[in-house]
Amino acid sequence: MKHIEMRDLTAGLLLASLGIFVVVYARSHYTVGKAVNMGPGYFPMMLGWVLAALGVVIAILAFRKTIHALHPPKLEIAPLLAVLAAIAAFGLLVQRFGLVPGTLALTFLAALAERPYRLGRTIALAVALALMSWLIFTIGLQMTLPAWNWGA
Amino acid sequence: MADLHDRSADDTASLELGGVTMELLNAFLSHLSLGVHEAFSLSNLWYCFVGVFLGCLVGVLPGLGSLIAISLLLPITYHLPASGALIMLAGVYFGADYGGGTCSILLGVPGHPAAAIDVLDGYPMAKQGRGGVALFMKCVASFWGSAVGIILLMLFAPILANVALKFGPAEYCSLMLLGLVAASTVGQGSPIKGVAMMIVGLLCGMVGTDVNSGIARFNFDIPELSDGIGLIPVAMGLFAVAEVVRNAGKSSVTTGELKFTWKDQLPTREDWRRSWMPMLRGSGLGAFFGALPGTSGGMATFLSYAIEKRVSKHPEQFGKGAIEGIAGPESCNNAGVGTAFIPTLTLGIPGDAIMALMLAALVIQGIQPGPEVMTSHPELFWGLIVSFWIGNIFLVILNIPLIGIWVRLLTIPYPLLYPGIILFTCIGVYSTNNSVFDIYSLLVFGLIGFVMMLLRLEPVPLLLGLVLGTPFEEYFRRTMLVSNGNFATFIERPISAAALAVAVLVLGWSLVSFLRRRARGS
Repeated sequence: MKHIEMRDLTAGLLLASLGIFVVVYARSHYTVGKAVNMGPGYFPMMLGWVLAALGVVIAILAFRKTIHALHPPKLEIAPLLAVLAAIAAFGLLVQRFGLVPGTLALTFLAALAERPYRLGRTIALAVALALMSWLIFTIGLQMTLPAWNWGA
Repeated sequence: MADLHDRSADDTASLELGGVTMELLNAFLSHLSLGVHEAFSLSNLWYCFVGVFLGCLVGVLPGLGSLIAISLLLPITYHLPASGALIMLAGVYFGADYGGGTCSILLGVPGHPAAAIDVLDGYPMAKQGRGGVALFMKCVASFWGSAVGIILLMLFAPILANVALKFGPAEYCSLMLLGLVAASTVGQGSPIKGVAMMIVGLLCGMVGTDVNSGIARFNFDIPELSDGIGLIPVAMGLFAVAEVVRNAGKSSVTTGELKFTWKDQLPTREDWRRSWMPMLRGSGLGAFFGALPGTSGGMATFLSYAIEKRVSKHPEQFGKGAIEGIAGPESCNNAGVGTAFIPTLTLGIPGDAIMALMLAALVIQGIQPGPEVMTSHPELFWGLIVSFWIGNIFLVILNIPLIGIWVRLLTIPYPLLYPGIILFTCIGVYSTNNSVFDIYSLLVFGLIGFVMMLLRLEPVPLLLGLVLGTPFEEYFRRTMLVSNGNFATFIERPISAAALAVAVLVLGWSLVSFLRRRARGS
């Protein structure tokens, strides 16, 4: 039974396609020019070729058995979605509604990564973080980050 | 610019070197007094103190290393004057490094990869009730290592800067390539993947307005992208956010009884006797490797540990609480920090991701990194160096009495910690340009960072590539312009050829050892 390192294969193919994409995109959108007088597409195209070649090598080496020094994490969807949603919510809320609503939303969403969800602790944490960020950034560092921004 | 290219960089440099060195020695003392004057100003002392304190604070928290500490605190420095900003960041670096070791020693969990070595003997010492001694020795060894590194930086940076003033674009190009290749191949993972990620980083650096043609490249009609991809969202996304995603939801580390008093920290006479030689060896090793790109931190400290174990009369004690296992690698690590600043400040070529962030801080302050910095902003350079001394003294003063506070921080459970980390990351990113777009960049790069972790792709080369993308392309373009498109110019110029040869050697050596590792596995 032949062993295939799926993580390496995926990485290699992804990088190779990124390289090809860059080459194609650079050639179709920008002047490439010659080495002596490079156009904006020359250098990216060169890099794209190298990346594509390296991607192929990585994919080929995936068919060999390997000892790895790096230990990849397990793919768990819940923490990933919780953290990304928390950041997105903060981005959506911070300018339109202010620092405090952004912080509250961020904390409640981020806490979804934990099982079980502990509501009481999360409320306390959200309030504490909102207070802290308001004190440090709005009051202390005088950043243009209003705590509340209902008017706009 | 043109006359710089025409001269042969090598022979002018060597002819002038003798006279220049004398001149520099004379200028040395006046520079030093300038630095003392700058660093001892009340505001800079304060920035240094704040930097060290915040660095310790962030570094102690599990999962937050010096890299994340610096990127978190970088936005705060925007409003400071240039020297204050750099002084504070250097303080953060030293502080976070120390803090990370605290976490390694007391919990047995490395706060960040560079502190992994402290776990080997520090944690066993902590279990034997000698955690305080381990921390104290780490502090002393760090201080000693830093001192060696800073002295070398003071001596060699001016000389190198003088030589570098004669470098043309071909030399810069090859040196950058050497830095990039070395930094992307010495990591733990596959060197091929490292180089590939470095290329991805260079490509990310291409995004935005091309300096020569004024065309916005790879912006995909997103107006915010015409200014390029921000370094801060990338650094925070790849390191902080991806790390939180990795750790959130896992049962967090539970801490045992962590109580000790001031007195528990004092090493015995025996501890001192066993530590001073490892400190000497470690600092020499670290100073050498620190100046080479990519090798500071991880690799050199492991080498130092291996050497101490080999020369020791009691190798069996290593891993069970040998104090040499702390003293050697720790002074090695900090000596490397000092010498890592040599190429960063004189050539504008960073050796690792932290130095890349330091360079970014310079650029944000409107200072173009390169050999001119030392002559055009002497107060900045020498002030920074003197502040390294002050920062390290603060570190000793802060840590010995405040150790109790750091220990209490360690006991904060991760579920209470990570929402705060995400929040501070978001605010830090946002405050850079007051732009919500940067928060979305953070999100995207956080996702990319996690996918990279899954695929065993290392983030450091990407970050370095991003920082060097624009200057690398610019120097490459200029080289080709001067040489009429003749690629042979890179090997016809001696300094450039030497740099390329070293790059090829590094690449070849790491490839061979990697492939051999693979072969043994099958």
